[in-house]
Amino acid sequence: MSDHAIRKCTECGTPQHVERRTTDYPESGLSNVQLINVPVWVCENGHEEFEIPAVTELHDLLASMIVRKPARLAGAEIKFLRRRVDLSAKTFADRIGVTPVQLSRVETGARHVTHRMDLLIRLAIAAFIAAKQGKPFPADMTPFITKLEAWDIGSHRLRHRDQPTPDREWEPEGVEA
Amino acid sequence: MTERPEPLGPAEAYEFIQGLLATRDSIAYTSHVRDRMRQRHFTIDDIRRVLLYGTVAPNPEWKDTHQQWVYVVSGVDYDNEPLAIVVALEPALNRITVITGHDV
Repeated sequence: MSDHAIRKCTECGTPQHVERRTTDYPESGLSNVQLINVPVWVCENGHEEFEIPAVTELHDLLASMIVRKPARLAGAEIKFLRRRVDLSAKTFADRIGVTPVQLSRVETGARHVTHRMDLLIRLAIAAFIAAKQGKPFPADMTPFITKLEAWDIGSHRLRHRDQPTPDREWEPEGVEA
Repeated sequence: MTERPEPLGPAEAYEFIQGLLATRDSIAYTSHVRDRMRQRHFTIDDIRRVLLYGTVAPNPEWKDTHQQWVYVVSGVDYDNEPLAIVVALEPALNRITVITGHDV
């Protein structure tokens, strides 16, 4: 059946015609996305219904762009990405090694995402989207793995240096100096 | 006034929704539900989740104004909050229109 069969407004029942518009897309959960050429069905009384074709593909595309952005991820973007992997906040928090409370604070913008968490989320989402599309892990995301490894090594060193210096060197018991 | 068609049963309605999301993956949204989404902070992903995993209520309501049956699908959003979505299903046009969403 063609889309251009007579469609009627769900509010008043009068026939609709289609227009193409540019519209903001806050319904995605992201405040900075604008869609171009979106079909909007308008009736004689001016009621509007907007339609988004291939939503899964569109949201995966947005996710692919977000995980590659140079700036640190924003809370709303993390929430958007979590929805791409179809996980609850609790399960997603477990997978990336943070508590649900920490994740919630980051998603709502109450706290900034840490550098490590930012990298982990990007890599997890990139791997998920690649697997869903039956593709290998994207090569252009490997610098993020390098960054994560470098960050982990750096943070271990930092923790090690922060440990208090022992009072004396370890000696086996019963051995006289 | 056109003759009132038979409504879809819950299983038929569910099957139609699944089929449309799997093929065209396209849903229409009224201005009203777009306002509701902003007010209640749910997104298109939440709506899709409820439509995919929710339950279709057995008694659709006939709307005289637009000569359509409207169905309520209940489920939970991505934050595990209950959410009910009211939709018009038009198999003849291969179309789903989301009319509104509200707490269960």
